[in-house]
Amino acid sequence: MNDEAGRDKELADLETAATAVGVTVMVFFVVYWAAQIATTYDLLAMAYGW
Amino acid sequence: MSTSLAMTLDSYRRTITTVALVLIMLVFALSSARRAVWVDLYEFFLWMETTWFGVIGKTWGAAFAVVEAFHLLAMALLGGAVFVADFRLLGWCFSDVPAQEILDKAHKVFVVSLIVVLATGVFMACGVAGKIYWLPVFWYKMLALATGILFVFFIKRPLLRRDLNDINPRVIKLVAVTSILIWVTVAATGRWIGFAGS
Repeated sequence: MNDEAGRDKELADLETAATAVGVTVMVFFVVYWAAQIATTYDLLAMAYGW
Repeated sequence: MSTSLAMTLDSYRRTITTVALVLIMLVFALSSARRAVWVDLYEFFLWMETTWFGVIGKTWGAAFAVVEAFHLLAMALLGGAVFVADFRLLGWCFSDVPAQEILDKAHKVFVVSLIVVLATGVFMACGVAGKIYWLPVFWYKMLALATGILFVFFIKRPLLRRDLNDINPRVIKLVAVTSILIWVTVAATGRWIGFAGS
């Protein structure tokens, strides 16, 4: 019984940690690639006068 | 009161460690410490170019090219292992094969290819240390790579070793998407290094 409760707690911990990392990575991914696309667009605009 | 708080904290040790790591990285990235560490690392990168790997990589283009070929092949293998496992978790492929079987086999391939990627990557980094030191994209790649390794061995693998029926399906999908995003970033930034600078 105790063993099972311990496993449940560990699983909840793992799920929460995975969610925290997942959200952080997604936010970072969106911000990073949005910034890269924006700066690339600016460079192309400067080069070709868009 | 304090006992129950201690028990709660103990129950969420991995989550607390993860959040603390993210916060430390955030503070580091936004503070002057990042620049100080970067400046201090310059000597180390100069030294890398003077090692055997650095000298061979710089002076013998064919050796660099052959090692890079193995690096790219290992990256392809690693990407394949990641995609097969994560697409199965998302239910996009091999639905007729038990997920656990695919995850276990893909992880073995992942570990072998990661070792090859790291070994060949160190060799290549020595050959172009003076160039990559100045490239922001190299540091983003290292950040993504470190995140990917920590994510796989401290979160993804321990979580998915359990019976998948016990895990919240949304968390499984989130883990799969996160894994894909991390390794796509590693591959994309790595390829970008080849185009950046001169």
